Amino acid sequence: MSSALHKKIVSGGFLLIIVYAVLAAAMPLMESFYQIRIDLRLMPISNAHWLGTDQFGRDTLAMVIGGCFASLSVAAMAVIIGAGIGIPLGLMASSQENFASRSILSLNDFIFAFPALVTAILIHNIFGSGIVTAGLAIGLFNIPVFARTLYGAARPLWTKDFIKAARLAGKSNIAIAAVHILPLVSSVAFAQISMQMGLGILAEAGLSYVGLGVVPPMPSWGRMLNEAQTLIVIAPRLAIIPGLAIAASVFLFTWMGDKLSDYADPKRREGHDHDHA
Amino acid sequence: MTTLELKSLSVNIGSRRVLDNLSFTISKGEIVGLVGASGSGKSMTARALCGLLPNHAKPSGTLILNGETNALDDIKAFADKRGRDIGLIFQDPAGAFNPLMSIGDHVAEALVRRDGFTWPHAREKARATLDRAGFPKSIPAFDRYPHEVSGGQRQRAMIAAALVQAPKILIADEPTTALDVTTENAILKLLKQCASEDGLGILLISHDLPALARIADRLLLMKDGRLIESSQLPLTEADAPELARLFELSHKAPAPSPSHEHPTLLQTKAVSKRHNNRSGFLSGSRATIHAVKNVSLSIGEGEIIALVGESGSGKSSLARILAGLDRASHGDVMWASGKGRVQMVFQDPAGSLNPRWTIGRSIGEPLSLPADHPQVKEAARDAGLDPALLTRCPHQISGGQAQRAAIARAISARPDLLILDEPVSALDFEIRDQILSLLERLRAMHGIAMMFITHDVSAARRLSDRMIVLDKGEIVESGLTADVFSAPHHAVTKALLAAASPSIKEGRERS
Repeated sequence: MSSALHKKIVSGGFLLIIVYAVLAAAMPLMESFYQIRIDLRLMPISNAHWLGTDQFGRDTLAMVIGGCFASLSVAAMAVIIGAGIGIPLGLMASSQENFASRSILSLNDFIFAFPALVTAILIHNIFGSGIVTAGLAIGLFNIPVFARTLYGAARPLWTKDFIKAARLAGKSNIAIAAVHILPLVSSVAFAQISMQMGLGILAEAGLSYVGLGVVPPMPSWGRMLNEAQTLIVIAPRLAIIPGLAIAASVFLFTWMGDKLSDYADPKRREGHDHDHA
Repeated sequence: MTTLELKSLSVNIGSRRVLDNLSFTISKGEIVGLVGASGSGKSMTARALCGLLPNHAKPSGTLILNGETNALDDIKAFADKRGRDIGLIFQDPAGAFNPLMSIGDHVAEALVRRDGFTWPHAREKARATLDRAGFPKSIPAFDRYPHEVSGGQRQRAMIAAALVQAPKILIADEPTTALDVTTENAILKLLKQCASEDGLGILLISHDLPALARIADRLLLMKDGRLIESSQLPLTEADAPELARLFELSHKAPAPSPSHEHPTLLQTKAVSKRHNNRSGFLSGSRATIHAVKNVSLSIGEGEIIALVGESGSGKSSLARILAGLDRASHGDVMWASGKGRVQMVFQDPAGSLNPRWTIGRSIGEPLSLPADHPQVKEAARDAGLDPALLTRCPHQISGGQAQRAAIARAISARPDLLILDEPVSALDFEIRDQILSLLERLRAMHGIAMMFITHDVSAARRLSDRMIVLDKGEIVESGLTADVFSAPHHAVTKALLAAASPSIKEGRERS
């Protein structure tokens, strides 16, 4: 793929993400459309209700648009927690091999081994439901993902000669991590952030589906799926529409993550094989 | 008898002509050395002969192999024949092996796949070929995987894999660059044996002119995709002025060392470095490896010391300890002034600069100066680097320029001791000469003490006042460089000196 085309695709992806964020911000405007109106329940697709209404008479389009907010804010919070704690931990562990770095990595493995849903139920029981709880539960499991990825990307850099030169220049590990290592692994971090956004949206839908996510009346795609399951024969669109919304947004973010990680790899980015003449 | 005749080979990549009208012959049993700076088209020539050019390259010309004429632009029609008659070995044997396949099976594979041998029969023949290639009989080749043998042994296995098909021509692309001197010599000897005993024609590509001169019958010199000189060995200046000049460069006489009395700058007392290697997760057995063993030495102010030894002799471990990048397990490093400032210059110029930083920013790093500070410019000029290059990134400058930048960074901090870890071994001989001259000049200008780590004794001779020979972590010989050269005592020293002191004028050694 030529690098110009690649750039266009990536900027197209960014545009879609901005559209998504605008929709999320538009949630308050939608509020009047998803009030419970039993008299309007299960309306088919029409000019007044472009995607019909559900069993409580709420407009499905407004619910889908309103659902962007829960998805995006939970996923973003989870990523901020995961990246904010995971990236420094990963860089710290990569800087040298000692007791602290081994502890960080072992703790990672420990969290990886823990069933995420059980933890979410636990956090739910302690703190109750809501955006913050869901973001916290998902974010906790993002920490080892970021720590591992950054560890893996940064580890080989620490053995480079320019790092030795920086040590001889009197720089501390923290200074080296900040000025040399972090800029070189930033593209890896951005790719991972995008991937985790996608996975965070999926996780939020999952939590809301089992009733551990955001609290009604705030709309959530996962809860829409839950409520639609008893009506799957009568009104299959009630399940299909939020399902498509989840699939599309997860796809958008993970695909962007994939493209960004291509970008992180200069060999794939420049698209020429490295021949030695 | 001519085995291979190449007629007007040209290769275009896009609109760029990377090889231009190359013609040469290789006779039965002849070793033809192909020399040239990196980027001159040596490897491209090898790839064209084997049909391994990149997809977008367009070759033209003819190749007469065993009396049969083949057009080079028709890669497919010729592929099978070429694979059988032309063997190829590379610089890095590790990259050419499948890590999940035993060494022996690599050699046997082609016989099974191409010649329809049964595996037992192919393995028998593979074992015989491995013996022929000097692969140690004591190693069970069919149970050993590529990572379990040394680089030299892998290169022997690679040669065996090429020989097992009984090719007429062997193309060896920098086969010894990754090996230490002693192993290099053994491999070159093996290649020579293949040529003289089996009548194999060999095209030996290298940037190591002295090594080529020892075993080749003829030398070809490439520059910018063209063949500019061709000469039988021993070469005469009239025949091949450029080759003769390059050879002189690689053996320049030593600089007269200035004073002999240097006040002590640094002393080490019985410094040792141990590594504990546990062989497996569950096995309790530990092997203790002494990377550095009881090393006591002193370095005088303004003195240049060459630290010489084969790879794995502990040179770099010792350097790390002196630089303070690593701590000694035992012993002390004592500076006359209490604490000394050390800077280092590394082997791989590309790896010693942050790829995203401008050259100026890298040079300014030790003194925390901005990239456009006058002191940074001065350091660049001292190192012979055009200050206009300071705004570029490492991939935009050449290897020689990157090495100058690394030297500029090191000297800008005005260190007490400058440690140079194989600073010229990744460079072409012409750039190598320039860098060595630069170091001579810097010593004259600033009087910085230097520790010059190398396996290249001719560079050591040119630059150093004193020489220390290291083997298996221990000092086996030390003394004034001139004395060590005229009367080496230890076997390791003799081997190192012998490996690097040929004379192109005497031609190939007749053994």
